[in-house]
Amino acid sequence: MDNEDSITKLLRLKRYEQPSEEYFENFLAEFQARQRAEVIHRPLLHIAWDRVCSMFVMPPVPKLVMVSSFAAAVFAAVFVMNWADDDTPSNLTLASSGAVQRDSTARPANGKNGSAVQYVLPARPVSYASARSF
Amino acid sequence: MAVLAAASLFALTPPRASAAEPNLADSITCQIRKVFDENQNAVVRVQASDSLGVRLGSGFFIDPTGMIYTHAGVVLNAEDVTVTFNGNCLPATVVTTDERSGIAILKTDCISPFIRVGNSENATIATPVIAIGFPEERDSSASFGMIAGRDRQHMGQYFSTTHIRANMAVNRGEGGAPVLNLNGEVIGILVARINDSGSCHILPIRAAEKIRQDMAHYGELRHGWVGVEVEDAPEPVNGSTAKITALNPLANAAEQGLKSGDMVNAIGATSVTTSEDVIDASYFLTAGEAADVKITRDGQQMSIKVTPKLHPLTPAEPLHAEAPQQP
Repeated sequence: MDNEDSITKLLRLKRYEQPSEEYFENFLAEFQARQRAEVIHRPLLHIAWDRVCSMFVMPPVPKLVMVSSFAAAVFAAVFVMNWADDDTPSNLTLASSGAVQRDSTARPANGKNGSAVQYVLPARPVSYASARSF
Repeated sequence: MAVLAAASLFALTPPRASAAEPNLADSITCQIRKVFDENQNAVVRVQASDSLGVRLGSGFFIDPTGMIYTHAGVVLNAEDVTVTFNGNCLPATVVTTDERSGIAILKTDCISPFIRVGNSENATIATPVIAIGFPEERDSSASFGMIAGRDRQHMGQYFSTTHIRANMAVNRGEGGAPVLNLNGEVIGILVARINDSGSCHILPIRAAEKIRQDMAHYGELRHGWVGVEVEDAPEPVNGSTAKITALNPLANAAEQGLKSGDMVNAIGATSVTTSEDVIDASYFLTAGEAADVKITRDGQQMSIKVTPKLHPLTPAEPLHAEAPQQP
């Protein structure tokens, strides 16, 4: 009982006990300064590790957006590869020996019976006159 | 006085085109349509197949007996070759495939429409031209363009003979298509597009006709070879800088009288002023047919008759693909 009385008195006293007004004014500034100091004094490795970990934290992106982005990336890659094929010269090129060769870069299509179809018009004329001779 | 002034004013005023007279644009359009309509029946789609698949290109009849020019790449080593025109599909035999010019000659058993041969040497810069071919899987179509120049090399590689370069949009599948002038005469064969620049290279019809003449006269390709290499000398001699630098021992140039150091002035009918001129001269040499080579040696001009040998890169046997049997 004595203990309870003393605690009750203490609480009653504490109800009227308040910090000075300066304390509330400086509280936020001091709190931020303390946070900054903690960060600054952390070892560089810890900071780097935190950054690396944060990179792998996936943002809350809907699955549909993720799938469509992946599909767009695959489509773009295929388009770029085909475009590069277009620029490579010729269905036909001539080797230094002078023999006309089939060019593996020719873009084939599929025929009605499923066989590969090549439409011929190379990007370089057939020629083997490598030297000025007669 | 006033009458005189009025009369002179009338005389100086340019005549106005009457409403009935067609303007230039209409005339050109009419002429292009006329050329297309008159010649599209002589253009064929060439289809060749082998173990790797099917190749499609264009070609055209060059005479009424069913002889066809096409691109060598279409029928090279093909097993079956067919041509389609006017709704007919006929088997074709490969008469020859010439790797040097990049063209092939086919033969079908039919009486055919054909395109008249023009003079490719008259096709100068800014001459309008029309190509008729089969782009990819589409029907025959016409492309209109203009001759932009003549090239002896492309991307550092010399052609076997000078090619015509035209600014004309062409597509895959049009390899072997005829290129015509506005008179409806074929002046060349479409052999290459220049990447995606909207330009193309055309083999002059004169170069193709050399192949056909060889086949007609000898039954085989007869590219001539003297075995002489030339380079440009620093100073011209008698108007030519083409100097003989080497004689190939496999040929017989030395035995026929040519020497290293001779300056070449002409080969056959082709005059030579630079070392590059020998490319065209060489193309039109025929093995076994004597040709005069005009040279300057020690300040003296002379003419030496040489008989070229068969060019070492000429195929020993024509590449034949027999026509598939008709059912």
